Amino acid sequence: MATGRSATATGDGEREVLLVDSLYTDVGEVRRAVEEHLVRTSAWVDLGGVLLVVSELVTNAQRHARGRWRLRVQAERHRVRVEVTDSDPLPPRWRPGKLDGSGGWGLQIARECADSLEVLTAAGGKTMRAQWLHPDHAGAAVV
Amino acid sequence: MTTGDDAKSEPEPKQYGEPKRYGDGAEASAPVVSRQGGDGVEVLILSGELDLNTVEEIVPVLEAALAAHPGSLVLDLSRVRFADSSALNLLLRTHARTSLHLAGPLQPVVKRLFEITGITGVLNLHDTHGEAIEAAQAKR
Repeated sequence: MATGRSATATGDGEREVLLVDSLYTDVGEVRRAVEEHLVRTSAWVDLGGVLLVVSELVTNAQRHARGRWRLRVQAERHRVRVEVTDSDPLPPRWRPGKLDGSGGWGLQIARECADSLEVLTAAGGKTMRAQWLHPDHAGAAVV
Repeated sequence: MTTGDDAKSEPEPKQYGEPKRYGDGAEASAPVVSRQGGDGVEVLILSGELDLNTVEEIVPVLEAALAAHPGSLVLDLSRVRFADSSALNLLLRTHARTSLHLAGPLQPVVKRLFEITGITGVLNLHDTHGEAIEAAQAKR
């Protein structure tokens, strides 16, 4: 199985998690899985923005991390969290987009579309974490 | 590098990537709907979702169009409902090689991509298919 779902109850109401891994080599398939999941689990999140971020983070993982990655999407009542974990321990290069088309736009796009974007490093890999907060809670800490 | 001389024929339905689908809402459509020559302007109508995978399918058709008419190219993006940085890079690389004219109107996510990257002021974007063709003919 390339995707799986699990629902766990938390103090913040039901929390549902979507997992997709790199058996899915088609970025479009990944976006559709995320869209289908969030349509069910989040009434407020900026779906277009999430899909752009998913596309960029998965594309980066496909291209730079030898194609091994895992996507985790967690929808809560007031927060949606998208994490892409890959086995490349090198942090991403934050560089401006190149007008000659040689790259650099992906993370810039992801940062524009998410409320926050951070890099979590660990032994054996890294995780890119993007988060969206419910508009009524935008002033709360993004942690 | 080229797809042959079938520029004016109807596009063949083709699928990208693996035949597997996620759920039943998935629809895999060819990213290039048609390629039209004539009047000295090559026109590619793109559709669906442009990303890492589908851009690879556009490249050979785009190369064929540029080989036929190196001086200008029209890409109609009005049927594209999603595009990310892979598409943006392709547009920028093409822009660097020829007089590239993009036809809208753009759908929301594509418009957003252009706006957040500030690329609207760099690429030649036209409101309609006809305006893009006229501009490409003028620059020819």
